[in-house]
Amino acid sequence: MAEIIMPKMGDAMTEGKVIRWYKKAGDSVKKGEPVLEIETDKVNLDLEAEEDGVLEEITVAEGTMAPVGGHLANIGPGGSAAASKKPAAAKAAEKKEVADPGKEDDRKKTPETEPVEARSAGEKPSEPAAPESKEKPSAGEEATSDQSVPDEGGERRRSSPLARRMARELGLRIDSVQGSGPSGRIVASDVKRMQSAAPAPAAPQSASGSSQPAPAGRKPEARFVAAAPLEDQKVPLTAMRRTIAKRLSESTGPIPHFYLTADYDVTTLLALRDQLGEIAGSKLSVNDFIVRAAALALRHHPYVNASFTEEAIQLHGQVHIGIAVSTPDGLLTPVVRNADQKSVAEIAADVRSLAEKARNRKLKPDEYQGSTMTISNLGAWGIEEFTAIINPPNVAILAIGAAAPRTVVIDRQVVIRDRMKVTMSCDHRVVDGALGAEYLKTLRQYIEQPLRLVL
Amino acid sequence: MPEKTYRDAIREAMMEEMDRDPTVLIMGEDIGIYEGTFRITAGMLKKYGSKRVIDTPIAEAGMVGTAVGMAMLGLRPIVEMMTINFAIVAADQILNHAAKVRYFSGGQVDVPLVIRGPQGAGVQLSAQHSQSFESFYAHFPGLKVLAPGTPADAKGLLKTAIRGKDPVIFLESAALYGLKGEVPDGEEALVPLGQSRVVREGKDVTIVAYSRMMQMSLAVADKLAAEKGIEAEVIDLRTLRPLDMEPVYQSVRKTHRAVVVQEQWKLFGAAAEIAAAISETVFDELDAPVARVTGEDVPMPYARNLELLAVPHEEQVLHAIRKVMYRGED
Repeated sequence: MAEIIMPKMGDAMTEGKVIRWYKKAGDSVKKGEPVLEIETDKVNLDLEAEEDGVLEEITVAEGTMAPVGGHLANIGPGGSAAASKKPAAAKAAEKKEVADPGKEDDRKKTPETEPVEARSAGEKPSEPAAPESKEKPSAGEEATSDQSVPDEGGERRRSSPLARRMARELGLRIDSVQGSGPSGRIVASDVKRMQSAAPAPAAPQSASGSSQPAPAGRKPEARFVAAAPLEDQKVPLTAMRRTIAKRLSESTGPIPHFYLTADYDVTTLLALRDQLGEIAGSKLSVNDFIVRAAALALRHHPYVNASFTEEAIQLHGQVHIGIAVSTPDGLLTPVVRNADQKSVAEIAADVRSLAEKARNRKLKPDEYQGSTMTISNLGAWGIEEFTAIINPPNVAILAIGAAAPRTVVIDRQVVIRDRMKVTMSCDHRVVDGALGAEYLKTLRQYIEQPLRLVL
Repeated sequence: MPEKTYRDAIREAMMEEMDRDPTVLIMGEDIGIYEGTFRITAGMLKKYGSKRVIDTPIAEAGMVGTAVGMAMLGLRPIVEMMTINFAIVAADQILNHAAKVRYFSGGQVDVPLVIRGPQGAGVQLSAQHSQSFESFYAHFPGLKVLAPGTPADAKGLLKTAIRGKDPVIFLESAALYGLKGEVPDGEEALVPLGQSRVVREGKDVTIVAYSRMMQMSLAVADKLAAEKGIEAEVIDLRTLRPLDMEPVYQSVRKTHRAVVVQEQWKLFGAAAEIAAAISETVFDELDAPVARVTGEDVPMPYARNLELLAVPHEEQVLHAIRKVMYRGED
């Protein structure tokens, strides 16, 4: 009798997850045959039977964590179960003989018996004994042959070539998709599901496609097209993401922060702000544009519009931007709801009324709760650049510095442009450096080409 | 169009070509007076006489060697093997002579020779007489290898083979001799060599097969469409060498998954070549590894029940389709 236990695959490994059992209790197994797949923080791998026998009880269900060294199942002698299959196969064969007295086309009448099972119960005379062979014993079990190899600095996920190509073309991260194929292989249908859950192309693009001459005159909102609704989605934590969260928290506190600073050219935005303010007849602030820009950029990067929990990463189906407002009593963060679906003018009106209520302590809970990202702007105080602390359960906050004329080099000429620095604080449990940088890059498109914000 | 059996279509192809071209002749064991073990040559001795329908001794190497000489000197011999299994006795004549004479002669001498006969299992001929040789012969440059799966292709490919300049291995399926289908007459019957054909259109999965396994795959595809709404595209290779893969690639670009079915053993079989070519050429289109359905890795049993278990059957094709479509046992 042999015990199957959770192996220790690395110094940092304390537990592993049972992904799937290839065998059921009572199934016979051969030495070297894969019995189950486990997931560690680095790699998915198959555990093989160490001896021939019958899989007895399974003590850890699929999807469940087990500590290193923990008991997963037993392999026992179980002669009876293996022997009982033989008569069944023989019977099936007899049935065929009676049913098909040798006509040419009797192939079609093959009985119901699952042929694969019938065969696996029989002998395999031509198979040479190769106990140490790495070859999988069952024919056609290609699924397990592409054993995952840990890449430097991350796990490698199994995926079909088509799924990888589709992800590449759609600009999706293949490792953010949960695979439904054998051994967790990511297949085309998984990418399709991910695609339909991911944000639709942002409104500015679709709106600019149907371009009509701008209505001369009053209402900039006339052309405004609200973005399509998103969906709530819960993405279970992978072992790798769990480890990142744990380790980085241990090193820097509950939320492992890191900071990315981008320097944006806001010359066009400032000019647009002045023009639109005149057209709308009310004052618009730079911050109102930034709120909309940040909200639209979030639609491109669902993992920034997210929250971290111990079990899963919650991707929010709506974009609610918290605005840090200082009051005599301290900081409040009223929330502009569905900021991605509101025009700049609507956002301006919202912010004005919320800030007013905040200062008078009249905010209701639903007006200061539920943000999915927060913006803190100290530009009015002349702060050029600063870092902000993330407002949980957000995974990012933008610290906006003052927009001011500065000398910059464009086309090898020193020119004076209005510039503004934005520092993004990211929760490393969810947002990795490259993702934060991608977000800031998307934000740049909205801020430096601000017509995207009003179309 | 008249319906004919696969057997009659082969005879008709030979007789039409013998009528058309006096240099065409046939030789083999028991093909004249006895009219052929599978009655392919029935009536031919009476019609063409013993100079063009030649009963030979049981000496395959001698038959093929004689035929190679005839072909080099301008005749168009057809050699019937009682089963293709017997041609391995003549393997040196086929592989080292027929396949290489043009090359060795610097292109001066052709060998317009057809070696034909039944192969494969399904008629209880046991281990020595039920083998499949397509990958064996298709391995060698200098040969052409055909494996028709319908009466029309049997006739059309054989007529083209007889008219060609190359040595051709024409593999008939013993289990298909009784299969009926529409068969065109005369020149209309000609089928070019080296052209695969989509025999059933579908969008969900590609099944690649030839000969008898193509017929079986078609039956599976029809059943799948009726019962599960899965539309399988079935491609009949018809010719193994030259191998026309383009229709297969086109189909995989559409379905993203492929199952290859062959009667012969799995190791180094035609399905391995096809699966590898798919991976090489349309790798990025694949959503699942190419699946193979093949015969069992045993010498063919004589017992009817065991023979049935040893060659691929419909349930195995269904199982492979479910696997490449990531569908459980539904």
